[in-house]
Formats: sequence, C-alpha cells, structure tokens
Amino acid sequence: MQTSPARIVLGLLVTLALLAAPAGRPVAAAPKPGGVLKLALLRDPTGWDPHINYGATTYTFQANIYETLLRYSLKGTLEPGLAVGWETPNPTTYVLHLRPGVRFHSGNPLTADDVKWSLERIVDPATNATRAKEFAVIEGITVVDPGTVRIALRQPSAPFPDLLAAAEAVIVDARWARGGGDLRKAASGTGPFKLGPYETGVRYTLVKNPDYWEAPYPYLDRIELSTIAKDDVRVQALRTGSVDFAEYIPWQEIAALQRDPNVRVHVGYDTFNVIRLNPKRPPFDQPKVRQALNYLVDRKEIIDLAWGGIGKPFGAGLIPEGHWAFPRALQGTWTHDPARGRQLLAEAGVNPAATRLAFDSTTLSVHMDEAQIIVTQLQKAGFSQIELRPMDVPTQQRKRVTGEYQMMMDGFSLPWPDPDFYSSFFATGGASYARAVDFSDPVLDRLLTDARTTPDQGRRAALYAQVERRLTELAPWVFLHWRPQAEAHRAAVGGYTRLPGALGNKSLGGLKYLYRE
Amino acid sequence: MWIYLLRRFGLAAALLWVVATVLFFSIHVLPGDPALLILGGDAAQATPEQLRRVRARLGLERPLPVQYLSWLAGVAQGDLGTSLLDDRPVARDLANRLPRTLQLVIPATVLAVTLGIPLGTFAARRRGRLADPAASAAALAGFSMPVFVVGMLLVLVFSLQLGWLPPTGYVEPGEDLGGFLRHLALPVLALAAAPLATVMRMTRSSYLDEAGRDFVRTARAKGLGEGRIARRHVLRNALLPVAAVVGLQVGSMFAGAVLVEHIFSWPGVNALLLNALGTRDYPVIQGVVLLGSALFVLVNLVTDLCYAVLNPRIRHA
Repeated sequence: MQTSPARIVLGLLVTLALLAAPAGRPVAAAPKPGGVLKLALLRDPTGWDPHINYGATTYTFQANIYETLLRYSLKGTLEPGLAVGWETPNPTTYVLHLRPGVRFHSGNPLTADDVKWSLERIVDPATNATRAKEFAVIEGITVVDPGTVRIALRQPSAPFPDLLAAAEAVIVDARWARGGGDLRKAASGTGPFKLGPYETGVRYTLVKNPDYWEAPYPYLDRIELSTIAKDDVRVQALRTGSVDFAEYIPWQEIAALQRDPNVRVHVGYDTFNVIRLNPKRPPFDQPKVRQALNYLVDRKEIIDLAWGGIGKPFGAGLIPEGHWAFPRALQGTWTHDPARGRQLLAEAGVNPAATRLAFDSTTLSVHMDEAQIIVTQLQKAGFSQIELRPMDVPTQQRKRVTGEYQMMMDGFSLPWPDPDFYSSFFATGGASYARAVDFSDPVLDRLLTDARTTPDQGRRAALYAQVERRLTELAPWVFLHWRPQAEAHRAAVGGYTRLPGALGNKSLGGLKYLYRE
Repeated sequence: MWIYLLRRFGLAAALLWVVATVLFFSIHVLPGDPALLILGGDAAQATPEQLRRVRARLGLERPLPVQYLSWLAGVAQGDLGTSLLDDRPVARDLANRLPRTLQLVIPATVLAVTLGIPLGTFAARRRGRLADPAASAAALAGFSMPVFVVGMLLVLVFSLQLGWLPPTGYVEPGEDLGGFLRHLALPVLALAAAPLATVMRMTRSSYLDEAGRDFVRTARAKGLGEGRIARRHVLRNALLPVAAVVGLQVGSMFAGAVLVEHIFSWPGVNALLLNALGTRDYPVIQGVVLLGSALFVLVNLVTDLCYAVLNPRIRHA
C-alpha cells in the first residue's frame, strides 16, 4: 500500500494523541458526586443502639453512621480507621493515636474522651452490649491526651485488633450522648452518612455527611431505604427500576438476575446452616451419635435440592477457605458415609428405629426447605420416628437462649473474622450455644485460651486446626454448609464491592463507595 | 329508636371488652420474649440477668392480671401504651397509619359498591342470556382467588409485563398526587376483587327475589315502565340485604388489608401488626387488634343503623 502524505499526517496525529493521553488513566472518568439511591431492605431496622447487634439490616445503618477505631479494607485486611496508628509497648497495652480533624455529625470533634466513653459503655452491663464479654478483657482505659488513648488489657489478646474493628465497637459522640442524645432514637457518629428523617416501619433516609474525613467519599447525596418484605416483590422492584439496590436476593432469583443486562448481582458465602444438637438430651448425650448424624446427612443432596446447587459443604469446622487459619488437612472429615454412621450408632448402642427425634425448624424457607430434606435422609437411615416441628423466629431465638430443643435447624454468620469466634460458641459458658445446653469441654477450653493469648499467627493457626479436630470428635452440631448470600443493584450504580469470606455480610457498610453513573 | 340505638351501643362496648381481654391473655401465652429481641434478637448473647433487667424495665415481670388491669386502665383513658422496642406511643403510630389503611379500604369499598350493584342488576335483568353466566363466572373467579394471589397477579401483569404501574411502595399524597394514585391503583384493585364479586352476586340474587314479587307484577300492570320499576321499586328493596353484606365486607376488608399491605409494602395499620408480631411487641399488637375490632364493631353498628333507616319495618318493631 502506498504511503500517501495524508496517511503520514494521520499516523502522526494518532501517535501524538496516544502520547498525549497519560498512561494508566482508566477509561471511565472519576465517579461524579451526587444523586439519590433507593435501597430495598428485607426488614425494618429493629433498634438504633450501635453497640447492640440487631442483625444484618440494622447493621447497614449502624455501619454507615458510625465508625470503628480500626477497620477492614475492601480486601478484608485490618487497616487504620479512626485510629491512624497504634503501638503495643508490651503485650497487654495498646496505645492508639486518633485521626486528627474528625468531627461527629453533631459538630463535636472526635477526642480520646469519646473513645474511652464508648468502650466503657460497651463493658458496662447496663448497656447490654453484644461484645461486652469480649471487651471485658480491658482492664482500664486512660486518656493520655485528646488525641491519644492507652488501653490496658488483663491478659494478652491476639484478637484484640479485630475486636476494635468489630461492627459493634463503634465510637459514639460522648458529649452529645451526655447532653441528652438518645441512642435509641437518634445518632451522632463520624460516618459518611447521617441518620436522616425516618418514619418507623415506612421509610428511612441516610443523608450525606459533608464533613466526612475521607475524601472523596461519600458520593451519594442521599439514600432512601424502605422495606419490601416479600422476596419476589423486592426482586421485581429492582427489575422494574423502582429501587436501585436490593439486599437479600434469594438463590432462586440469582440466575435470572445475572442474565438481566440492567442488573449486577454480587454473590458470597458468609452465612451457613447447621443443626444444633442438645448434649443434655438423649441420644445426643453421646458424641458418637452426634458424629453419626454428621455422616448420615448428604450435604450435596441438600445443596442440590434446597439451594439449586449453590452452596459449599463443610469439610470440618467453620473457618472458611481463604482464611489464614483454614485447616486444609482436615477438609474431607465430613463425608456422606451412611455405613460409618450406622456403625457409630451401633457402637453407641442406639437403635435408630426405636429413637424418637424432635427436629425444630423455623418456617423460613432458608431453614424449612432444608429441614424437610434432612428428615427424609434420616428416615432413610433408619430414624423412622423423626418428627419435624415448625416454629416462628421469636420462638427460635428463645430456644437458642433456653436450650429447649433436642435438635434444631439454625443458620447464622460468623460474628467476626477472627477464629476466636469459636469461644462465643463452644467455650464453657459461651453464650451463643454452650451455655444454653451446658456444653463444656476442658480440652477445647484450653486450646481456645491458648490460641487467644498467643500473638504468633502461625502458632494460632496450628492451635485452631486442633480446635477443629476436637470439634469433629465432639460434634456438638451437624455442620451442614455455607449458603449463598446475594445483593443486586441496577447497572447504573457503581462502586459496590462484596467483602471476601466471612466479612461478606458486612459489605453493605460500604455505601460510601457507591455512585451513580 | 333510641332504645334500639342504646342497646346496640351497649352490646358493642361489651363485645369490645371481651375481645380485648381474650386478645391480651392469648398473646402473652405465645412463646417468644420481647426482651430477647430488644437485646439484639438474632445475634443476642444475652445473659439471663440481662433479660430479667430488660423485662423489669418493660414491666413484664409483674403478674399477668396486674399487667392486664394496668393496660385496661390506660385504654379507658385513651393511652395505649408505648412500643417495647423504642418507646413510641402506640396511639400516635396508629393515628399516623390508620389514614393509610383507610386509603385502601374506602376506595375499595366504593369500587365494590359502585361496580358491584350495577353489575349485579345488569346480570339479574339479563338472566338466562349470555351476559348473566359470564358475569357470574367473573365474579366466581374474583371471589375464589385469595387476595394475595390476586395481588401478585396484578403486579405480574401491570407492573412487570406492561410496566404501567409501580409494584410496591407508598408516596405521600401531599408530596406527589400522581405518584400516590399510581401506587394506590393495584392494592385497591386487589383488595376490592372479592368484595366486588360478593356484592355483585348478592345484588343479583336479591334483585331476582324482589323482581318476582306480587307488587312488581301490579306495578307492571299499572303501566309503569321497566326502568322505573327497576329503580324505584325493585332496587330499593333489593338493596337491603346488600347493605348488610357490604357492612360485613368492609369488616373483612380490614383483614384482607393485612395481606395487601404486606405484598405492596403499604405502610398501614396492618403492616404495623405484622412487624409487631415478629418482635412480640405486646402493646403494639394489642393496640392494633383492639383498633381493628373497634372499627369492625363500629362498621357493623353503622350498617345496622343504615338498615334501620332503609327499612322502616325495623325502626318501628
């Protein structure tokens, strides 16, 4: 081809244009600030006290209004939050340096006094704070100067940095609260959004905090939240554009939404299902029987039938894959092995046909669908006298505390990413399971205490592998599987990232990253 | 007449008291602890002492008869108590939300009556010809389908397929009247379907009853036109049982509104009830059910009075 002068000029112009464009600039321009987002919730927020965990939906508000001293990055690693730096002069002392220039929504500046007041409020039994037990490791808090706090612990605590990043450990405006601010009806935090006008049970607003310390966030001017309780209606509202963002997409809708070009779906595995067993009630007073159940259920069949094949069965314990303490060697402990199950029952002297089982489950489809399949599986394994008993959610919550069950279907997420969550479930007196049913194992307790007070992560990982092995021997639960959790939004909404692993259900705390294209 | 009224009022008040008492004791028998839910519900790690403390603060540790009398005394003075969850006065919540439930019930009633009576008359006068069984079939469909099925079908057709109307939600009429009416259309249609069918059928059969009477034959013999006979003679008598049915339908519409408010996320009184049941918020549950019962009793009272006005035979009995 002849190279004409015109072509040469064109070629030069194109080259000049390419050279002029700075390298590495992304194709899309920086997000434009402004705009309103309509968000559909599964249920209404239950309460406004930021030191109490009311569940995932209320978390969406708490995590955008308030902030913690340390926080998790979008990759799931710990990074500075309201504290820009910290030192540990010895294993039981933390000195935290607060970020300068941060203000609460009331206008009051963030000082060490607010940190001291907030953390002491968590420890105070009158508050009924969710993390009170974990924070009881604090012996004393001293205000060194308005920007520095010293925390003294009773004993070394490896999970303490994670504790400071916990969702229920936010820093509250002490002066506002002392001056009459009612944490049950209003809020004053340092977060990217303020609690706007709301009508309980109807609609809520989060309003942009113009003085937020982390530029350029937040982008949105306002978020309007309201509840659409029925799953299919919520998904329809997203499809038709009535709302821009919907939480809790049921698994049945995931595939269809993924095919919709106007919608983006984010799926993660941060919630799991188990069957709680009561070791005070025969036949579950024998570990072999509890283990037997773990071999008799067919996790793959459950996932295929109840979850459309979307789910990850437990190989051993609760630490998720990708976590630094994930015990790879133990995976494959739980298999579908009816022969082994029957042998364990025989060794325990239990005849399944002669044993009456009462299996409690809520009527929520995330529990009931699966419970029905499990009943069929256990009947096939010989438990012909198993009875499924439905209950509603408040009854389930009561049973969790009183232990009035023989076996109970349950599902929840890990309270926090540090493996010391095992203490809240299985340590003697652990309030999330052990205390209600008097579950207690001294070997497990010792392992958990060692793992909590050892600073070296490698050593901790080895200890938690031993914890999981012990749990497979004791089998307090039937460890079923991780189940899918999903949110979805219109394609015109950008910036949403789902946090990895067990932090996934905290992703809605990142509404400050959202923008409208 | 006045004795009649007084007797009816007295009965109504006694009925309300019975309802309130049965209601109070039956919800407290339900398992589930509001204190637990206040302490965080799902994620609660509450100790028994914490629970006891919260229950004491809420007055739930008192013996049940004491709690009952205290609540009753409050109701007599117009104080329905406060929400266990966040101290909101129940009466104020009900006052805020009742208009929104009425925004569904009143248009639905009007729709059922203004469409049902003419349709019923139409079907009756064309008895045996095509229009009659066609109308009856349509009525049967509307009547047999549960209200939530009708609601979901409407959303599927008008919202998802055609995109004419929004699927759920509520907009203040003051803010945006057009939006309000668009959000109102589907829930009202869903709520009106069954009552409309019932009114239509009732009108039709009542009309046919009256049309077969001697005095109609006499009127026709006197030379009165069909239209005049229909309007002045037949319909007036035929509407008596229809009025009674409408009264009952309005009462059951409050129940139907529970499902409609749930499906369409309409923030009325019944949505409040559903939330409160989930959190065992006793004062709110009691307040809503008491209000519902009072309205039902009131509507029946008004229906009885209308009946007495329409039918002189009752008045002078």
